[in-house]
Amino acid sequence: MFQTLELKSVTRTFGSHKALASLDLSIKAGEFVSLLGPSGCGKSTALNCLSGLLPLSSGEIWLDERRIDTLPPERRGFGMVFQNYALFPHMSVTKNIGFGLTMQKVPASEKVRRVRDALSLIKLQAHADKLPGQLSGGQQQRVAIARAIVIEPPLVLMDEPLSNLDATLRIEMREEILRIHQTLGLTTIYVTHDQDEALAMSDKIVVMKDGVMQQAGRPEELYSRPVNLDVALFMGYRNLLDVKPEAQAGEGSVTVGMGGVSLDATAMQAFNGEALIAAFKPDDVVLADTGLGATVESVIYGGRESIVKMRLDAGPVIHGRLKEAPAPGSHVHVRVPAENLLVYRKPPAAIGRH
Amino acid sequence: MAAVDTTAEAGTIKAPGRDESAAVAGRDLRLVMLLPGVAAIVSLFVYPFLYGFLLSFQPNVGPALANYTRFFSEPRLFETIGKTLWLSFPITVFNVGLAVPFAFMLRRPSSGQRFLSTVLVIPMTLGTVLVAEGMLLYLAPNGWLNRTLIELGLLDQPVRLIHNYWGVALSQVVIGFPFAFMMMLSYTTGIDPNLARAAATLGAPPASQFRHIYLPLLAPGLAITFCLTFVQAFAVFPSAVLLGAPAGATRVISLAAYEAAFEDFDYSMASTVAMIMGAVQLIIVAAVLGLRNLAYRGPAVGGKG
Repeated sequence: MFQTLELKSVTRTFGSHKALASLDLSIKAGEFVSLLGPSGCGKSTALNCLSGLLPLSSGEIWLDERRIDTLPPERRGFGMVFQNYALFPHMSVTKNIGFGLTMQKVPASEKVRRVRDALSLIKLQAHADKLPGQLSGGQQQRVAIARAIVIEPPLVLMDEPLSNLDATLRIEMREEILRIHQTLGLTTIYVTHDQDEALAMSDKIVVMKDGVMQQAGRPEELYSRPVNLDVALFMGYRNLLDVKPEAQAGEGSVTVGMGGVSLDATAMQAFNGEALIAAFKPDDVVLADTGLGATVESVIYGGRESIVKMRLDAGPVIHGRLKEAPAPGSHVHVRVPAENLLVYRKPPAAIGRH
Repeated sequence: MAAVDTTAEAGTIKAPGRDESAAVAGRDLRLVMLLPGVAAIVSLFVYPFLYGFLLSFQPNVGPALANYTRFFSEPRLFETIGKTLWLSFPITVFNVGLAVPFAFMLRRPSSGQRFLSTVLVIPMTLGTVLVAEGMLLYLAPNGWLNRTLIELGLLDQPVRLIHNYWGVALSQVVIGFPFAFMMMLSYTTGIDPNLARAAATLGAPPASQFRHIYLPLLAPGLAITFCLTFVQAFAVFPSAVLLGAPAGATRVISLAAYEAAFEDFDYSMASTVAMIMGAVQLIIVAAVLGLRNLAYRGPAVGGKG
C-alpha cells in the first residue's frame, strides 16, 4: 500500500485546447475524493491521466517515492470503473471479475477464493455464471466495481459510475460504494457532476471548471465557504444580489450597501472595484425587525419549512427557506448573518447558473 | 404473429362484413407486398438453380449419374477441385489473416485509416479484369517491376510472376484483401474501445487485450468475412485465365465449367461441374459457420452506452 498520491502540475492539452491546466493535488491513503464539475471541466481528463489511458502533456504523478505517470495503464494497477461499465460481454460474471487476477497470474486456487469473496461482497453469488447482458444495470455496475477492486488496487478510479442508473438505484449504489470503500479501506477517486453525490460520499471534494481546479476541501468547507462565485453556484442554489462596498472593517469582514441598506458580510475575495455580488443560501434568510425590506410574493409549503419568494424593495427577487412563513402580500424585513453573506467580485460576463 | 392478428381484428371491427374473409383466413394482405421480391428470387435464383440441378442428371449419353462419374474419373476434371482449393484457401487465410491486424491497428478514426481505406477501395471498384490487365503489364518479364529490380542489380534475370500460380494468387490478394479489410474494419470499429481500456487497467498489455477481448468478439465477423472472401476466391475466373496457366496450375473449376459449356457445348456436363463447385463451397462455408457457433455471439459493447 501507499501513503500519498501526489499530482504535480498535471496538464493535458488537446491541440490548442487546455483540457486540464496544471492540476496540483495530494491524496492520502484511505480517502474518498470526488472530482466535481460540469461536463467539459476536465474531471474525466484528470481521471484518465491518473489511470494511464491518457498520456500527460506535462507534469508528474507520484505514488510515494515512485513516479507512475510514465507507466502504461497495465503497469499502474489502478482499478477503474467506467461510466458504461465496460464489462466484457463474452465473459461470465466470474470470468469478468477474475480477469485482472488472470493477468496478474494469480494461482488458480487463490483466484477462485478472491473472486468468490468479491462476489459475496457485491451480493451477486447467484449470478456468477451469467453473461453481463443478462444482468440489470445496477447488477452490471456492481460487477464492474468488483472487477476493479478484486485486484486490490492502491487506487480505485470511478468515472461517473452512477449516471446511467435511475434515481432510486443511484441512492442505493451510493451506499453500496461507500460500504465497499470502507470495508476494504480503499482509496477512491470519484468523478461526478452531481454535487449531492459528491457531498454525500466524499472526504474531500475537488471542484473543477474549464480545466482549472477551483477549490479542494472537505464537503462542509466547500458548501459553506466557496472560494469563488463559480464554486458557490455549483454547490447548491444561492440568491445573488448586486451590492456596492461601503467599508472594510478588517480581513474578510466587509460592509456592503444595497438600496440604501448597509449589510455586514464576509468578503471571500480581494476586490478593489465597485461591482460586487453577495451570495447566500435560502436557508440563511431570517426574518427580522430591520434589514432589507421585502414584499412576500408567494409561499410554497414544504412540510417543516416553506419556500418563500420575496421581492426586495430595491427590486430583485430572492428565495428564503423559513420555518414560519409570512402571509403572501405582507411586507417584512429580512437579514442574513454576516458569516453566511458571502461577497465576491462581480464577473464581467453574465452569470450562468449550473 | 401478434401484428397479423391485430390487423385482422381491427379490420373486423371496422367493416365486419367486407373483411371477414381476410380475418377468417388469418392472413395479412400486406404479405402480398412480398410477391415482387419472391418472384425475383424464384426467377433469378431458385429456378436457374433447380434447372441446372436437374440438367446435371440428364447427360448427353449414359445413365443419370454419368456426368458425375465422368467428373470424378477424369483427372482433368476432378483435379480442378484441388487446384481451386489450393489457390483459394491459402489466399483467403492470407487475406483475412492480414486484414485482422490491419483493422485492429486502424480501428480508431484517423487520417491514416481514411487514406488506407480509400487506397484499398480502388482495386475493388476497378474489377478483376482491369486489375489483371494492369498486373500483366506491371509483373511481366519486361514489365516495370522486373526491369526496376534488374536495373537495381537485385535480380540477374526476370522473376516469373505471371502465367503461373503466383500471378493468380497476387491478383486474388489485390482484389480480396481490400474486401476482407473493409469487412474486418467495420467489425473491429463496432467493438466498444472501453473494453480494451478496461482490460488495460486490469493489467492486460496490448497483445493480451487483442487476444482476450478483440479476438473472441471478432470471431463471428471473422467467420463471415472468411466465408465471403473464400467464395469469391473459389469462383475465380478472369484472373485465372489472364494471369494464370489455364492449362496447368491454375486450371480452376470455373474454367472446367466454362469449357464444358462453351467449347464442348455440353450444358449438362457444365451444370454438373457447377453443382460440384457449389457443393465444395457449401461444405467449407458450413464448416466455418459451424466453428462460429462455438464462439460468443452478441453485442460487442460492455454495458449501457
